[in-house]
Amino acid sequence: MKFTSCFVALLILLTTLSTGVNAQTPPNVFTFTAIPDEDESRLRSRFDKVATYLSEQLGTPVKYVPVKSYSAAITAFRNNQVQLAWFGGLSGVKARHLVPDSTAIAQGYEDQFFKTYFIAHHSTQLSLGDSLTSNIAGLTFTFGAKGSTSGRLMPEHYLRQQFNQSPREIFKRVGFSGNHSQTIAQVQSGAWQLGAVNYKVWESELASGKIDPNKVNVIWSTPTYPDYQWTIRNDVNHHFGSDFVKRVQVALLAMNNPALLASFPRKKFVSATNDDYAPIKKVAKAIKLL
Amino acid sequence: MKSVMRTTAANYRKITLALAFIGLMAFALADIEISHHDPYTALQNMLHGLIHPDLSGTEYLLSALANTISFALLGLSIGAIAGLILSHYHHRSLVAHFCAFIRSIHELFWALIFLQMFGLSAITGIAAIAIPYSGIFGRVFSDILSRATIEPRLIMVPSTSKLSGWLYGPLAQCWPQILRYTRYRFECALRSATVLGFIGLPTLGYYLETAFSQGDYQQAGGLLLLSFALIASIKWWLKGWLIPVYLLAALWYLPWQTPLQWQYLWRFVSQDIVPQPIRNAQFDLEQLGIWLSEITTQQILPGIWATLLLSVAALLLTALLALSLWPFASKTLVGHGQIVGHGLLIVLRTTPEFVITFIIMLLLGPSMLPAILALALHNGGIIAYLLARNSEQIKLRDDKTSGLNLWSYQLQPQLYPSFIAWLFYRFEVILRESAILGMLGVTTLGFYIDSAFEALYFDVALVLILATAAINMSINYCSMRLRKSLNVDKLELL
Repeated sequence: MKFTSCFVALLILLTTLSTGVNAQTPPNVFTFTAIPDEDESRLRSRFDKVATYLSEQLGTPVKYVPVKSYSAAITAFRNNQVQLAWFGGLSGVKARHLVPDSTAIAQGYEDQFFKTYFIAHHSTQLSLGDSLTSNIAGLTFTFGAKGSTSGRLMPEHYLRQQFNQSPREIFKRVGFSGNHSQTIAQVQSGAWQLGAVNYKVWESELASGKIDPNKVNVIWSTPTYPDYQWTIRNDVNHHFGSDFVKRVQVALLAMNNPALLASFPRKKFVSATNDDYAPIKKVAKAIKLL
Repeated sequence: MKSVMRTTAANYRKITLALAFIGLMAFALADIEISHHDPYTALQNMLHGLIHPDLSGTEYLLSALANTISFALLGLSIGAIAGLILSHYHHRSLVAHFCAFIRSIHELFWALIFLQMFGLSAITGIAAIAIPYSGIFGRVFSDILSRATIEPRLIMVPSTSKLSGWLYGPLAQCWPQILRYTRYRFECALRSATVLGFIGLPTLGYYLETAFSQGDYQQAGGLLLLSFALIASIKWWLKGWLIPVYLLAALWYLPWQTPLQWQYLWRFVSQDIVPQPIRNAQFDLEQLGIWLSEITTQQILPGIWATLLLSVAALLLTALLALSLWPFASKTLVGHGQIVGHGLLIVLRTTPEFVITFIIMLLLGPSMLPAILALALHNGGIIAYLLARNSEQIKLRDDKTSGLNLWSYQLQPQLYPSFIAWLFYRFEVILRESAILGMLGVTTLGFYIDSAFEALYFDVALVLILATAAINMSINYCSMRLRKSLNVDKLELL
């Protein structure tokens, strides 16, 4: 039928358009992605500056690709659409699990001793304690994003450790707010009674006046754990020069412009290894997120 | 003596009562607790944002706008052409089931699947719209074409080829309805393209989601108003002769550069979606059984239950809203006052359910209620719009009554059959859309699918998606049987 052949022709045209141009070219632009733990606005404008910096340091074109979620970042990394990524603790472990030939090369200074705050709405009348009070059982509780280390993995780990039950069994209702700013906003509005939040986001929102201490307060701080890090695919050495991984690491550690560091936001970067994240890997395996 | 009348009206009464009954049951069983304390600050911020919209902080706004339109146009065009072909064979049950299958999977899930294979590329966005839309078009076009009369075919010379016979016969006859429906679908495609931004494609939704989740309501307000304006102005910028120009522009504009790498496509098909127990060629069927039953009891069954409660409750509210809203947008009833009604309906049907749920959740707290309300507002808005438009096409006598009498004795009874037909059709849509709300945390099947994608368990995600498709298709089948048995199936859909 003519009609069908027209359609097939159109499909072929589209496929050739999409594949023909660059089909077999190796990545000649070094591409990275990053999801900061707070303030996801104007990502491209902010990280294009980081790309410019890296490009100057490495002497090769560098491009930033924005992504929406941790899983999208992992997929892009796995499919070699990005070769370098600023991952959370858990997403980094997952990415390195899927791309065995990849390494954590740098982490934020703060990421060496990261922690999660458990926060509560004032109506619960809970206050700051040295340990997590058992009175939280039966209330409503929200995590941050499903794949977040500080908003999901570690808080769930400590909850399971203390109660020997899954969050759904401990609480009356469990939710995922999507990100840390939302966790704070929704616990502050009383939509949820409790929440688990990245300590850095809490402190910076407290400083900027977004938090009303009369409505929401911290009730417990977890022990410290390692979090965000830069992970790179080792096969970049084939495409961009034999010591490329090393050079990227040097460039990241040397980044000292506060305007660039503010995008992450971190004080500075320090070197890291895959082994630094062994504790995260263990926890992720234990609660079946890996 | 009481005689039982099997009239059409009696059938409509039966259907309406059944709908009210199961709707109320769903409300009784669903979790609709209101748990809020002080939502006023957040609400105040949101209102402030809507009143003082600000787009200056949005980067790459024009490119987002162009991407949204390009994805919608190309996805819709491919979907419409494929749908036209499918409609030709829709009388075969295999094709009908195929159409039902591809449209029962939400655009977002198609996109999540293609994302694994093609990454954030133009193909992902276009295919995610084109595939489910082909299924929708296939069915609706076949409905429309089946109402064509055979007279034109009878006067053609016997040697007329099949294709010409079809082009000049049924197609020519139904062309206005097909065009009208495709036009209406373009609006939906723009919405779908926007929603694809929520998972990372560079459309308006990308920035809308960011703005909302960051609490930047001025920017969110600006983007919402922009999407309202985009849809409200379609009739001025989408002219028939311009469509080829737009299509070429869209083809040229979209970023096709992302290389298609077959090895990733192959890996996805041959490894990622293969159930974990039988991956790596070790066919441990016992493990597979355990794996499947775990997914079924922990995710599929609770997911289906929540999905059904949510959808049925939303259906009842949708019906009530549509019935009470349409008169305010009907020129026949309220004259030029219809502008206000139409404005309201545009806002209702254009605001993504995601946004409505989000706002209501801050007001009422997390339960099923925000999702029920959001689905009802959105779909009620759409049915009300269709009813209002149809009411203007009903031919009335010169000595017609007006106001309440016109509404209750003439228009509403005449529109009721279409109302019921749309309601049945929208139920299918509501089921599908309940998926997006799962991504916001209501534990529908969509919630578990999103979690599986987030955890990169693609094998689990695929099983869940197939379960979703199966449940949607069986409900679709039941509703078809119900309509047939009550003799309300031969209805104009548009």
